[in-house]
Amino acid sequence: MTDDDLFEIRRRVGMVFQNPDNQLVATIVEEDVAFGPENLGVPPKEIRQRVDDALDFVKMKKFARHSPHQLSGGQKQRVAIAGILACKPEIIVFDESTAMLDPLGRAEVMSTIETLNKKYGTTVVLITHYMEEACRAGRVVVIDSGKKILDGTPKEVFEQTQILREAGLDVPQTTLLLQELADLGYNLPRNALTPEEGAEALAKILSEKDETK
Amino acid sequence: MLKDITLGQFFPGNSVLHKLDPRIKIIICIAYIVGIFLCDSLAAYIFLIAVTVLLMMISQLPIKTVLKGIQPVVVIIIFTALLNVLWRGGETELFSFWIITIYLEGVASAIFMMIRIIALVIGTCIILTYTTSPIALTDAIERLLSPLRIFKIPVHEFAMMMTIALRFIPTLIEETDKIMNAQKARGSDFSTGSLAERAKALVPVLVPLFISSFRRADELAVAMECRCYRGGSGRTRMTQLRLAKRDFLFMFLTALFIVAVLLINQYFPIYIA
Repeated sequence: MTDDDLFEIRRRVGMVFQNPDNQLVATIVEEDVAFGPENLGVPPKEIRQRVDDALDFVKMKKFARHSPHQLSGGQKQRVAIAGILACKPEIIVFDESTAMLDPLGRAEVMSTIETLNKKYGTTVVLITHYMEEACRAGRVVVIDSGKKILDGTPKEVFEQTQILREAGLDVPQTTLLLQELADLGYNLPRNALTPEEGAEALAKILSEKDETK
Repeated sequence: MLKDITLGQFFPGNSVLHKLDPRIKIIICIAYIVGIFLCDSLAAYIFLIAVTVLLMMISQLPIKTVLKGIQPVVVIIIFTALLNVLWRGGETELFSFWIITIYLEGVASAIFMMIRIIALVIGTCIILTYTTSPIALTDAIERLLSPLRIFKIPVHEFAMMMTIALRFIPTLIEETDKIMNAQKARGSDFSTGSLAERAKALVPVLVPLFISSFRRADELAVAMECRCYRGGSGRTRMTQLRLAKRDFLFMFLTALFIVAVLLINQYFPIYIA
């Protein structure tokens, strides 16, 4: 692979990493977001436009003139995402981008990623250890020691509790609860992912029970 | 505690000097320094003082902060003044005591030397460090030196290094603070003991700091490459510096200042020394 091939890949695939501190280059937020498009040789006027749009998208517009060290972890990570968005890649890879954030920061970043995918159609590849995050994907691939061991929709993948456990991964708590109840003989789905889904399934069998009485 | 360190000496403000194009400021600053060294007669020195005071007024900086700028060079000022007073010979003897003879010429050149140094320090502070943000300064240096690229001097890379250094100073300060606290929690003592002991106590702080800086540098390099960074060639900039009327006005005034100094030297050659 030549340097030019590599450059072409980088132009089309953006990466957001784990530590927000080690991704920001410039001393001012908007300068940092402009870094990518500047490298691509985008004309100044368009860079301005892209920077404003990207900061607007991650809801960091009012921090445009701040310096990165004045921001929280989640805010920094959102600036990093804006920096990638301004490059307009086709695919964005998030490499454990929420691992170093507190719950609030994680929620902020996750909702940003979700809108990016659902509203703007950018392909998102999210590498994560949090199963609650994996549930929100369209397709889940489980990789263990470099080998693909599971591949499918979240519902298909999280049914395979045994395989996941062997790979050292957890299953969402709702799924686990319903599976254990199902093992006891209750008529419950083995692939409920969200608490809402779980509650619905439980409510359903409870009402069925009432009817049989 | 380390968080309180302020970066650089930039004082944000709204004066004309703050708004001036940083490239022009560097040029004006150099011209001003040349002007200082051209001063040769008593009248020229008085003119120089007047111009410096005028600059101070334009900058709208509090006099206290401006005078603070002289603090680091006070020792040098006193030293050069003493040397001039004691060793400079002349014709008009003021008084003589034991082996010390002081001449009027010596005193005069000491005073001129002091005016020169003070004007130099205050001038550069007002024009550059106090009124220009470090980023603007780095940017201006890059743009001013960019013609040197013809000689294969990596101007952009140097500017990039400066920007990254500025970006990471607060991060590293924060990290130092964290490591120091971690070591304190393990019973390390930074504030008592002899100087050698205290220096020794810093070793367990510096080692992890170095290691983590290298890791940071590595990660940053990867992140920069992922954002298509390939050095200075083919790069555009979001902010374009454009010269405004005030920039030309100040350039003209600076030229006027140098011409004025030369004329005063020529027509009012009142020399003491």
